[in-house]
Amino acid sequence: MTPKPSSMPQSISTERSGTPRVADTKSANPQPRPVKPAGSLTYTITKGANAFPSFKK
Amino acid sequence: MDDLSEPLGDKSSALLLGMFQDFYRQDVAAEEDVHRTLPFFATALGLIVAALNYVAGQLPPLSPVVKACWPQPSTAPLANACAWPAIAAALLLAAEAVLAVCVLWQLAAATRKRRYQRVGPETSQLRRAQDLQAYHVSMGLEADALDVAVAADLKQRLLADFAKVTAANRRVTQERYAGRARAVSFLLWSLLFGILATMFVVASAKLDLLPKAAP
Repeated sequence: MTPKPSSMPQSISTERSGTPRVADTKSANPQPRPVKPAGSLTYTITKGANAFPSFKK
Repeated sequence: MDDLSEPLGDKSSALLLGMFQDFYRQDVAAEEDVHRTLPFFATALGLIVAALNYVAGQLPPLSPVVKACWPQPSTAPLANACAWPAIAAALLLAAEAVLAVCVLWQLAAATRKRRYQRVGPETSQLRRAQDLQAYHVSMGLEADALDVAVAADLKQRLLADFAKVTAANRRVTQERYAGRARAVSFLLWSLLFGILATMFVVASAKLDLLPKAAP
């Protein structure tokens, strides 16, 4: 009792046409365009003696 | 300087990156240069203090000089040739001492705390590489093309970062070197005045030029 091959496309076609919401959702909320990571990758350290704390520039 | 507006080619960026990394390493090593020369200054200042101690011990006390050179209150203070050897030795001694203090001051300025910049930290760089890979995957790249694109972006990032931090670190290193150079200048002048003071006092003592207390 397997369905006829000819009935399969018809069924699929019906399902697809019955769910048009997917296409509507995509057009309403488009996927955000990926952003390329950028920006400097550096950090600061402090080195030196502390003999005269009053030294300031 | 942030991201390069026009990314360089692979060979030219590799050439620059190698050069920038050398400069970066030089500046990182130069941070300790000034500290490594401190024992030299300590030895030289020890000689200066020894000369100060010797010359100060040879100078006559002030009271006998005044009594010997200015027996009358009406005598002009600097017109009296009797006091000049002692005055000259004292001036040389004072100059030596002041210049030695200047050496210490400049060394303190040269070794004081300063802010250095570094490329990294490593965890951020790793995360950046992963983010770049995810970005290029989302753009449809895969396999070798993906790796080439990520490597090229990382290289451009490192070029910009090395250029930025090396310039800042070099400025700090130059300030340290300038302070040390001034300390060397003061040290040489201090040593010169110390030698002159020692020679002057020894010669004055031999020639009996230093005034003695009046009997």
